[in-house]
Amino acid sequence: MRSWSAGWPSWPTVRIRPRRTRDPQAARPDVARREGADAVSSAGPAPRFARGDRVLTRHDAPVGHTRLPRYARGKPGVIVRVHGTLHLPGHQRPRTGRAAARALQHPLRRRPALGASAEPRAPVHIDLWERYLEPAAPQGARHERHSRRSRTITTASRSRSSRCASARSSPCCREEAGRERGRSTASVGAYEQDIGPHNGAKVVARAWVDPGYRERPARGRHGGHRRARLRRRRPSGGREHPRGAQPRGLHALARAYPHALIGLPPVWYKSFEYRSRAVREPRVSCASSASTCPRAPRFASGTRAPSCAISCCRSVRLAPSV
Amino acid sequence: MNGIHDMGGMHGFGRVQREENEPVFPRAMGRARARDQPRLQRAAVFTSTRAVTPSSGLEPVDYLRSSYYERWLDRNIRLLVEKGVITP
Repeated sequence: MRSWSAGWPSWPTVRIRPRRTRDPQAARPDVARREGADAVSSAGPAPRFARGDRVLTRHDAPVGHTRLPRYARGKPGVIVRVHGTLHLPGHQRPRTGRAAARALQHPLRRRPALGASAEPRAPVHIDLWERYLEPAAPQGARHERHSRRSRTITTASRSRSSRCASARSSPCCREEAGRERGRSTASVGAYEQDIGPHNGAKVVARAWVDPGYRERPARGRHGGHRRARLRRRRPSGGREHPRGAQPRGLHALARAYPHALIGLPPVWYKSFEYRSRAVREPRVSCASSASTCPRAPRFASGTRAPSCAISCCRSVRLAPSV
Repeated sequence: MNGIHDMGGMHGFGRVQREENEPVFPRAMGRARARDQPRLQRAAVFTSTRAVTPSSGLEPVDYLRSSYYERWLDRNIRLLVEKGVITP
């Protein structure tokens, strides 16, 4: 599970507008996607697991921070997706971690691996680094192995060279400091006014009327909101990430909350009550907060619309259809 | 690390309290953190990865007593002390 307190984003402002493409290949998404995928997949090591592999999570409590939460240790699971190579943010030289398993359920009975007292039919899907996993069965006895080549994502690390971190009193820093007050206030205003569920609502609304748009999440790992030309801006500098340097694929393992789409989480989402209960009883904790979890409606194409923008339904949505 | 922050699956915290139409920042503490954060990011004090560890090191009693944005403040202070920007 993600660290809940690490969810502060890089302060994106969301804008919905057509994206200008300078790269001629970008005008041909088929070419860009094919070549881009090949280019990045050779950058990372081959994944140790494939979809369908049965795994066991490590049972360890290392000193320091880990992204393997306690409830997920020593549990059986099945790989349902291999994300590819992701880079951890914040490292000057990006650390390459490989892939993620996304399953933590009893493979046969569809019971949660969290015990019989946990809510049934609510398997936990969890993104885990590969090193947290061990094969649950000998290599020869793999179940339903797909020879699916893992795609790899590389993420540019945050560039620090453009900042003058060494000389705080240099003129450019003083000038910078003069602009800071306005920007900081702007970031508060951005979250109070510009960023919020209405952006997610726009995405959903467009998905209902635009079939091409709707299919995008199924085609790419980043989901519709990225290809759907939701742009991230940094209100701090009003400057976009340089092309190709946008942090990508991080939400799977580091930033789990879609701020750009639904704004800052409400208080109850960050509360101890919800955080402790969401794993074992996602529906109950949702219901006890006086909201209902509607079933995910199906699009004609079979892809599902997010029925509940709040992630209390996330694990429910990913579960086998009931 | 078996820290207090890792509370998934724990029992006894009670019913989820939900407030309809709550403001984005219910308290001044949240607004203040929202103002701090861009500054800290520009000063390279705060990065996603560095943000994780100090909050995990908060003492359990303090962790449970403090609000979400109070924990942010605590983490920011720790980071600034660690970086030598301020002294405790």
